Amino acid sequence: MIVLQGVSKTYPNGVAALRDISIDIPEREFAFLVGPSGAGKSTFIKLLIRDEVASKGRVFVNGQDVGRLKRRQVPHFRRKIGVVFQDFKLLPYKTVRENVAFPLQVHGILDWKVMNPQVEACLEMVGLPDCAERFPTQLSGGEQQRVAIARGLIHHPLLLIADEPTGNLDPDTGWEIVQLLIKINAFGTTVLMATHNREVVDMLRRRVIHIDHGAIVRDEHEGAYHAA
Amino acid sequence: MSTRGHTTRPDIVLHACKSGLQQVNRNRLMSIFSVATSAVMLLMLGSFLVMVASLNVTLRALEQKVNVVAYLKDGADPAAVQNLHDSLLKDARVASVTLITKQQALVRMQQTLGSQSKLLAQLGDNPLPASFEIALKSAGSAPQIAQLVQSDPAVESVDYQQGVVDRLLAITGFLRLAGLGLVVGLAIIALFIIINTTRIAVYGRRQEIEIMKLVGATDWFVRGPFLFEGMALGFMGAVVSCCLLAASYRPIIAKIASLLTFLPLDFDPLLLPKLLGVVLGGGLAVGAAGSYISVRRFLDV
Repeated sequence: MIVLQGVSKTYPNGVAALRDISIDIPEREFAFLVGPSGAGKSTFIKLLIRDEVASKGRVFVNGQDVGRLKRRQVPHFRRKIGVVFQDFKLLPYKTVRENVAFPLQVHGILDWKVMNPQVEACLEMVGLPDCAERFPTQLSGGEQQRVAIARGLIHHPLLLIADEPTGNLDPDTGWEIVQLLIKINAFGTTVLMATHNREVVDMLRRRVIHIDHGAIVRDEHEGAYHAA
Repeated sequence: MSTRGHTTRPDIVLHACKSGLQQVNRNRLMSIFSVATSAVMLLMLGSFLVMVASLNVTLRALEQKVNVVAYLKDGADPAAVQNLHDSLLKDARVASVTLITKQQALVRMQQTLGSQSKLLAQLGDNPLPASFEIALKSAGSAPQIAQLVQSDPAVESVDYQQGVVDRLLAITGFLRLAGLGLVVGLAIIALFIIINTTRIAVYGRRQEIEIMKLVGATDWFVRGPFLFEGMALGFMGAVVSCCLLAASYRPIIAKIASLLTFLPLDFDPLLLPKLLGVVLGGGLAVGAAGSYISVRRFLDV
């Protein structure tokens, strides 16, 4: 699902965020991306969604060479991926229903008769069946993150990328979000979750990819937050 | 029921229109601010257009007062006089030619002198010459016409108040240029301010644009609602300023006319509809342009 071959990323200001990274994350895997702030986790994710382009090496997502996408191909590429952010990134002037439906509209599905059943199914799945008509500002942080996950799922992406989804939430709410991601993974979606949350990583014993100073220092199946 | 693949271009335009208007409604404070800004700018521009248009009418009226007067020799050959009259009428620069006979000249003089007209009787024979009053289409051709007429054998002398005409032409030319410069300058300033207001509004929502792009929206899908929003706000601003212009137009014109009573002012009856058309069209265009320019900066995600 995700293949990186000798990928380096140097920003125009000279900062080398990633150095010679190679990795292979197969379909249906649940992988954690861990490491201290500034280690390169965000750059890693930006490369996957074509927010940035690698300076060296090649990035493949779902078989597509991400670095070689033309500008007009990028929107179509992104529609196959779901992304969840630490700061939720919901559209403030749209209701929960409109936020969740947005990826469908982007796909050209504009008929509410078609969108509504899917929106309601997704909100049901994330545990927010009664919030459709509210605005994001009227929800708690945990609820907003659930809406963001519902939005990330509605178009049935093959890959869900979560960039520190629990970072702004209290531990209990964070746990609920992680459990939601596990459930999504169980239905067959590949999940990549960048996190600082040691408890979660240690508890779940999934694949752990540890990045530090722009390089992969550890890659373990059934790993923990810190090396054993 | 429409399903995937059956979505047509009009559907997407309609969707963009709907969500654009929804944004206007949900972002009400910013909308009111934008409408007010464009209303004030368009009102200012509209009033200056009225002023410049009336200035032009005034200037044209002034210039049309310029006449070339050709005094005819006493006892000139009637055939030669007729010839001159015909050739002047054929000249493209001439608006009209009026023959003032010796008798008519005397009557005029009597009217001018009023109660002192008895003095004229003491002169015995009518001393005044017959003349052609030549009205011109443009005051600028006065010297050429004067020269042409001067060389005619039937003509004694020519008068067109050379110094006055030259100065008049210099002044009207300057005023026209100044009016045009004022309107163009003001239009640029208005455009700049309206676009800047839009930029501030869009800047506040740059994250929304980023989110839409990250979720896989194309540039046009993001831009569409903003364009309709900009057009709606620009149009509303234009409607507000149109109402104010329409209400204040007649009083302003009346005021100008009463200040300049010595001028035969004749306003273009189509000025108001033309003006409203310009303001409404301008509001729509500037709104759309402002959104397009402002959104473009943030689309590179």
